[in-house]
Amino acid sequence: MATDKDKAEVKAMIQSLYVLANIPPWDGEVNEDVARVFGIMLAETQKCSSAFVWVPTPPGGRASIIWLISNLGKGVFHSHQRKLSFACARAVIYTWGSALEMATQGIGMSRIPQWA
Amino acid sequence: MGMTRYFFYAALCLASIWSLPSAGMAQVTMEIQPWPASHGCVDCVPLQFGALSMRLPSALVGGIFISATALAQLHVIPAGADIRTSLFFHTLPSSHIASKYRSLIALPSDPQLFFDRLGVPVPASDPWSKIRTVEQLDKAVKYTKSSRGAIHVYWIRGSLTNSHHLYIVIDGSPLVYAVDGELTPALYDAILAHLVIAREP
Repeated sequence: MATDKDKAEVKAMIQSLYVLANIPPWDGEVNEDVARVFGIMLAETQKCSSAFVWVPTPPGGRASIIWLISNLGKGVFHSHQRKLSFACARAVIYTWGSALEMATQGIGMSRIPQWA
Repeated sequence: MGMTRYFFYAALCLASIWSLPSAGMAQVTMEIQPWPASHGCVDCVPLQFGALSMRLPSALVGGIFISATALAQLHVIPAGADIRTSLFFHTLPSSHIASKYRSLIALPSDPQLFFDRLGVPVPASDPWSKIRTVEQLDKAVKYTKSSRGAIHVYWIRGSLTNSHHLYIVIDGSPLVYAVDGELTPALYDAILAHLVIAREP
């Protein structure tokens, strides 16, 4: 069961990506759907950067809050994010930002994003 | 089809006005804006992205970056700026524009209907309120539409840096073109002034 601290850490990861891309920070509430979409965003970075190529595919291809914390918590995300290019971060956010917003709004997605 | 769309939009506007609370609402409403005039373009950079053929004044463009990675990317970097305030060009399937919200609303797949409807203020209880939030209308300072022939351009102008979103809808096209990032009125005019649909070479 994810704690508020876990959610806050995941939110910090997401916001850090937005800051890198120089895009107004996302300020939504973290839930399991948000974690799933953010996992897809990390997978998408693998198409334009090697920063997160080492990240394993989550069980069932679906990232969770606990999975994100286990694999990228304690500063791991932030240290690898430095290798991400501005262009790659911007492309991923502009492509997937609305899915992230839909997830935090609790809007069911007709096309569930899949892990790459 | 044009008249149908007109009456559809007019009816939605009236319904929304009647249902809105009278105070405390400052929601952005879609405004129709004339298509920018095309002037002589001697010192221009021809640029084609998919079916969109543009001629951009070189004075406004600082650089163009196309990623060589698997994720297709086109970034137009305004003069005097860097990649962090680029315009990111990409495409979206037309059929998904409205259908991704099918758990909330039912709309025909015509993206023009979706973007027109998006510009109608709604009360918080309306499902479109959530859609306007997702599409950043709640943070926008202006939402405009300009049309010329088969091309319809919607501009969601955010108040913060890099919070502009442009959607270019072409009648009958399977793709909607999206441009995100930092967009000035001068660059907007430049993109549209010489914008034509062209076959991919």
